[in-house]
Amino acid sequence: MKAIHLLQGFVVILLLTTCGNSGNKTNGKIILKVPVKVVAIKPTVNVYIENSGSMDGYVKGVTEFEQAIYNYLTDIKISQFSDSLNLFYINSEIIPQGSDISDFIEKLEPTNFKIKGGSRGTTDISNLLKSVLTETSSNEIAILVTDGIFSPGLGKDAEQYLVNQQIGIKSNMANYLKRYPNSAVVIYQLLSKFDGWYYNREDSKIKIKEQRPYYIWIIGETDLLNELIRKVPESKFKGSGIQHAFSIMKGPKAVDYAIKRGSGNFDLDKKEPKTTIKNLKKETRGKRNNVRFSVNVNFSGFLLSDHYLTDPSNYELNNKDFQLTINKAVPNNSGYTHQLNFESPSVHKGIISVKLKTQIPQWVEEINDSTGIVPVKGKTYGIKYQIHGIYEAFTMSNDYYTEIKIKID
Amino acid sequence: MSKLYIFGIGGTGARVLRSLTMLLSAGVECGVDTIVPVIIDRDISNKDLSRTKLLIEDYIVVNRCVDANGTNKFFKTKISLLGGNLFLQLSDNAQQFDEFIGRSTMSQENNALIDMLFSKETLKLNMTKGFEGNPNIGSVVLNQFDNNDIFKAFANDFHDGDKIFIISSIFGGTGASGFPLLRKILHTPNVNDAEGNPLANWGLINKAPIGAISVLPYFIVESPPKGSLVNSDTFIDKTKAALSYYKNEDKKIDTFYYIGDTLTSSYEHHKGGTEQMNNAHFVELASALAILDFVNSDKQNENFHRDAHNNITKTTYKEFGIKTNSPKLTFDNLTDETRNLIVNPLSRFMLFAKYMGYRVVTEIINGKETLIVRKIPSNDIFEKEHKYQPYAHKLFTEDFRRTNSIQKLESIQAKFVEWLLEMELQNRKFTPFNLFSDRADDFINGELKIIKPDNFMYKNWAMVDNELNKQIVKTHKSLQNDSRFIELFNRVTEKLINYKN
Amino acid sequence: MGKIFGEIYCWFESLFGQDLAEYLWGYNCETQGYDSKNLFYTIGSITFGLSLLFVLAYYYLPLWGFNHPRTNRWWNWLIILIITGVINFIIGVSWTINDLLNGNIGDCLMYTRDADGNVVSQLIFKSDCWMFGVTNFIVSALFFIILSFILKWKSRNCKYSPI
Repeated sequence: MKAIHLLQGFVVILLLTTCGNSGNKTNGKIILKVPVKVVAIKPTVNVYIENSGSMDGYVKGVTEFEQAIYNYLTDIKISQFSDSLNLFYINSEIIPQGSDISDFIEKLEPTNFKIKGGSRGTTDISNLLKSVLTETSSNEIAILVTDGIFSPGLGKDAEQYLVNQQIGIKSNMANYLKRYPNSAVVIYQLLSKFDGWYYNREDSKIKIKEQRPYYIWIIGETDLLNELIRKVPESKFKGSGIQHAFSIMKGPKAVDYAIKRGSGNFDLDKKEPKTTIKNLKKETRGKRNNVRFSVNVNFSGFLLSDHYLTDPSNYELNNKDFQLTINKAVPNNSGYTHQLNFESPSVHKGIISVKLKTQIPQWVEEINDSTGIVPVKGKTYGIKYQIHGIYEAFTMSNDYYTEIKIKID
Repeated sequence: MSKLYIFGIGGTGARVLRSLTMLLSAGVECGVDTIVPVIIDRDISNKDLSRTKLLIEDYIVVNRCVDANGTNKFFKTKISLLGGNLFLQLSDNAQQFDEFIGRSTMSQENNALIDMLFSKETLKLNMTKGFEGNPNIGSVVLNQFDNNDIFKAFANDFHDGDKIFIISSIFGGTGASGFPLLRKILHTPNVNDAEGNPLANWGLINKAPIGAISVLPYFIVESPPKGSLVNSDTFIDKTKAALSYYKNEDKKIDTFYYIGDTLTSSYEHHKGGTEQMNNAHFVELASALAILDFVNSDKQNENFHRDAHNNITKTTYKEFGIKTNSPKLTFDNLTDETRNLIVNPLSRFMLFAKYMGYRVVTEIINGKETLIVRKIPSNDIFEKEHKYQPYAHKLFTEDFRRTNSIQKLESIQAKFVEWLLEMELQNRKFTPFNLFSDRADDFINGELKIIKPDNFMYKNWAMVDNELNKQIVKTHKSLQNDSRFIELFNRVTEKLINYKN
Repeated sequence: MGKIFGEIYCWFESLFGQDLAEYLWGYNCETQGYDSKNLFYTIGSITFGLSLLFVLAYYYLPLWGFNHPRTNRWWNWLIILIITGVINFIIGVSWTINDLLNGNIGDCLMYTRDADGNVVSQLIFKSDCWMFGVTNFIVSALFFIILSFILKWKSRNCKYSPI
């Protein structure tokens, strides 16, 4: 092994030197090159709007759907997050639509959907995802807008179909993660006026004119997504706004944390003041007769909402005696976003481990329409299978985002 | 282990022995290990005698506790008593002289002889009170002491190499006649005891080194009441008579010392008994020096001249002198030789006594202002300091001071100051020290610089305490506390007082 | 060594407060670690050094007041102990008050602030500095006592002072 490395190294050096020399062979003189500054290249954003038949109702006339999308894309452009934004329709094929947002939005009409082609019949969400993922490489973000409704078809075993879809989604996502393990997925649920045909799970259609949910998927590298969300946060969405947001990334990732000085009756270990507590005692002040301490954490890299992060059920402690509460951190210069508060009736020694778990929020179950016959307000048929599929892909090796260990001596 | 037997005859003998004991307490250099004193007197109720006896008894107690092999000089020389007795008492039952000689049993011829020899007054003289200055009487009477037990003990105790010394006064009763008589007996071969047995070691005694001191007049007696035979005017006459007799002692004594003083004090007239207690006089101190001169190993060649058969070929005659005459003597007036002997020991012992609180104060006694030696609590440095000073820590406590040997030591210290006070009150004063001073650094009278000057750090008694604390670690832990105490003070006073000519 | 001194001072932490204690330990607000100077070590060394100096002087310096037969009483020793203690008291107070007034103590130790950065409460006061001075007096006395009992044995005049 070593010999090959040496040889490779030697060859590289040789090439470099020869390259350098060959570029300057002008009368044997050596010309000094001007040093070139490497500038970070801004990511590319590819936007895919599903244009299958079930989507027509969202684009008839002027809808919140159009407004929301228009606004979002414009915000992305304005924020200078990206220099190149590409627009596509997607069904069984991907049909490029240029980069002009306003033109694109104007043209969002059922008629145009029809014209643009592709197979507008069924929506195979697993394949949809697969196509998008195939097109998304590093430094690129895919934004997929879809109604997320499964259509297994008439006479098909719906249950089996859904499960297969889930497996397919999981598989596609997992493959993608193999190539780009630092990827993340964010799914927003929004509402819009829907005026058109609603196709149920047996592919029968009903004409409806009501509010229907739709979903914006954002897929890409975690840091890019983080930046995008920072620049265009949820609050910026027009209309009724984002109803629910789901995000997921691979764990575990180390985070910056430190025990909060003065948050209890203890001393910090002089050598490991951030992670080790000494002489932990019960509180002497006030009537509280318990042991307590707090830890500041920087959760900013996780794309997780405060709602998720402040919910104790998303955490797993190794010591059942301790109770955990989480709140936003006091403003500080060290980048801490949240504060974990530990309380126990008695003093313990040893290592307290807290895992921030990767979990599917409860609301996913709630927005899932399990019947799929008639449209249910705010729910989508089979949406949970999509999210579960994504979830399983991301939690194949482990199921927590990060672990925080505090040693008590 | 050589000894010196000292026969002190009469009151003078007792007083010289008193001075000698003081000198030995102070640690003056002595050429023998042991002194064996014997006081010969008829009149044992004499206060001088009892004073000397008590002093010697105290000395013996203290001497027993000091370390014989150490560096300590205080009480170094041993004093031992023959059979525990100091007095060789000449006892008899007769009250009057003619009864004593047994006149009533004498033949008519002998009676007539007696009448011729002695006057009527003399024959009727009361015997127990001494001889009232009649040496001729004394001679006869003193002949009987060779039967005495103490003399037997002396003979038994004598070893080859021991020396003999006789103290006597040339004036007065007991001493003048006693000395040649004693000498004669010591040189009589084959003396038997009362039972007729020969006294042991008598051959050695015959040939032993022998010295004597004759103390010439240094006091006069005040006008006697009528009826007393003691009269100063007759002293000189009697001296002359005795001196002519002493011519016979030439070549019988190895070294013959004379001492006297032209500046005389006058004493109260007492014939003896409990009243005759004369204050100490410098002459007695100088007499004691004669004894030390006699045993000084450096002086062997000048003191002793013997032939091959160990017979005395020549008697060395010595007289004591001072360097400069003055009615008030300090160390300044003494010769170098005397100073070398006594300045350091006396000064050191004085410092020791002062530390323990002894000094002279004026008190009203019986309405009269009197000088008296007292242990003054405010001057008792030991009492004040022993609780705090490391040298005394757990060693020299309250209880320690109450131990017998230390009580005796302090008794001697008080007597020492008293002895110095008495010498200071004579016409011929000996005042080497300021006995009233309560300081450690200013009590030496005269010009000599004897005490180490204190530095700015340790002044007065603090200087002494500092030295005590320094020296205690150099004394051996194995010593008994009393022995250690004395050695400690010896070391310390040596460091602070080290006069060299 | 710094740790040992710190431990000793912290027996009295309740006197001068945990926040001042953290400062003295060397807590750095920026790094949230103890990488600033451990002042317990510095001040402790001075206190220890002065105690040692005075103990040695009392037992061995040939000067009135020190190693002298007239100043070897237990209360002489006590006076020297108090003098040493007072000097160390002054050092303790002035050092910490100086740091307090010159803003050398990190903000996170000095104040608690709310979300807008306004001061909610002050954590370290001048009185804490005075109490630290008192602590330094006590620590000085402790050193003095221990060093006395170790070092006095060869003292000529003060070997049994105070006992």
